[in-house]
Amino acid sequence: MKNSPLHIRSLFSHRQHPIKILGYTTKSFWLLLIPLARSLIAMRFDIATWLKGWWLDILVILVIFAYAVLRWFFVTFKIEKDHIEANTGYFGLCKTSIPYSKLCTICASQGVLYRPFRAYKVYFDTNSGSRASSDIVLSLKKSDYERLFAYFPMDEKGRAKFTHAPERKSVLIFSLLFSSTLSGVILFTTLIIEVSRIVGRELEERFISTVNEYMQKFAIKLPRYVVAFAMVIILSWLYSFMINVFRHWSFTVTRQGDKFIIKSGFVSKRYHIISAEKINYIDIEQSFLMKIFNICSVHIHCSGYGKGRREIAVLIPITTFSQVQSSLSLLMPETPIPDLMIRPNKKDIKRFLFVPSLLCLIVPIADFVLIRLFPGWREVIRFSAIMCVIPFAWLLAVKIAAGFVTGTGEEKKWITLSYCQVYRFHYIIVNKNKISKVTYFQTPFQRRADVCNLRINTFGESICCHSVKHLPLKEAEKFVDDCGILS
Amino acid sequence: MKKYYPSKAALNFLRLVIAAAAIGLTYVCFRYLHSIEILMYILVGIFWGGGFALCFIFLPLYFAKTSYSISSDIISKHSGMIFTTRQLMRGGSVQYVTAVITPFSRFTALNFIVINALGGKIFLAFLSKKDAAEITAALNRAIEKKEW
Repeated sequence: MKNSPLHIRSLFSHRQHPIKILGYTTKSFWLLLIPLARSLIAMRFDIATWLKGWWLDILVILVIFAYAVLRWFFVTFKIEKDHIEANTGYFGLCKTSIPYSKLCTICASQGVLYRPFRAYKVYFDTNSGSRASSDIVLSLKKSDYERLFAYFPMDEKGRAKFTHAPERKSVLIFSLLFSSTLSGVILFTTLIIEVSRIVGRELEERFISTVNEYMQKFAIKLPRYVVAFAMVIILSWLYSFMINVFRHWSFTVTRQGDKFIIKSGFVSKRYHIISAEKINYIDIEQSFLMKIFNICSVHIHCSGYGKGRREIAVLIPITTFSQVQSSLSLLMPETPIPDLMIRPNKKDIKRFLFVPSLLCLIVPIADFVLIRLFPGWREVIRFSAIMCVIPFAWLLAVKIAAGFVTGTGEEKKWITLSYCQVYRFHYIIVNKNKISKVTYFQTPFQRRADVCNLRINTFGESICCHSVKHLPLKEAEKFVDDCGILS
Repeated sequence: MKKYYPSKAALNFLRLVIAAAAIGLTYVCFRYLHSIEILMYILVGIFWGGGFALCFIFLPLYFAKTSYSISSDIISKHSGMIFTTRQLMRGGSVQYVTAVITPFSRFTALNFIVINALGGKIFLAFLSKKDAAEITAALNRAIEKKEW
């Protein structure tokens, strides 16, 4: 009996925080608890009758919980001086050992549920393994978290450090620009489904009735489906925006020695420690609107950063294009921004416009044909055509700009790849040593004009390809040879 | 730098498979679609026309236009008839090699190699068994010896 506290202590040492047990239960675990609690209240806490009537449900919950406890029990880890060792997976059968020198990113996050229990979720990532998930994920107690992060100090005394903390309005603009309706639709639908599963269809019905009310208000001027469509888009986008704001609020990035320390989050706090030499490339990203206003967002590609749900691998959320050089010279002094040396010939700029022009032409033709075939659906077809033509016309404008900014350049050991991918402009700065493959791609039309798409694969956990379009073939070949990209 | 080409045995084997598939599909059409003659003849025409195009235009062109080169520091692949590609991979970035050797591949030449690098891969198809073994051995030797 004397040793029992020691036994308890040894049970918890080298194991995750007990809060993780909840994480190991099934997703529907809470759904089972609600009717049980409701029935207990209805029976005025008559435990005996409750047990008699609900024994099967209670048994199922106990089995689920026991299974979660077993999973928690078998997952163990060791934090050593130079490596971390973890027995993960079902019953701790997968033994993984990662030397700290091989780690690209360590991310610690503390969500709403974890904060009161002083627990941290820590993600370990290397350049290998799955792209979708981290190599090791552990829920650590504060003592273990502190022991681990003692090997990765956030502030090394005596070493110069530079911190970039964007203003809150910059974070708001960043969230505004990087909010996507599509991801919002997915998140919003998931939210509605999950909530309706827990509290029944009440909330869903209330939402639909609110939509109906608004629809009736606007129905005098607009058709109902237009209002419904607009509401879905606006709400989804707002939801995506809120998620981005919460995720990137209080964003700071610090460079000290060979590592970056990135802190962000409002509800869920996140800390990333990124090894500078493991960064595969820097991506100065712009949308067409950002290009017009001469602002950009600097992202980095490093295994583990930006892997989490709804996380953007950002280094500088928003800055002006002219300030990038000065910000990067402080955060990444070893990285120049090479100017473009090879660009598409002026006569080849029309090639950028082929696909968007075709799409813009197809829509009115399809609209004309469909209205002739289904005159009763005229209103819906016309509305759909207008909705389709807007993104295609926007794409045409984007591709006109792309024709003038596409190209590639070199300085010292660094290569620049400037290209436009659908609606986004990318200005990639990559070290030559981080390039694994070069492809010259030609369509029959390009072959006749002796131009090519130069595709460059950079290091990463998954296939990572950057396509610089319509470059003169001979110049591209000479550039690759002269720069010694593959040597 | 040693150059490799897809094996002619694979081309002949694929021609045989396509011919067998066309015969099988024709039989199915005659057996089950004889009541809708027009559809039956259209489908049979499509199968044989497609098969002919594949056997005597598409596949020979594909085999003629594809080549692989392996040197001490660069792996390259030229391919494509309509859309041509020239892929060059830095030897040093190769992580591992996956070789798929099928049964009877001495006669069918259905041997494939996937060269996996960080952030990219190259697929070498329809190699003769000897070539596949030679390439795999050379690449594995280089990875082990860390020539790259």
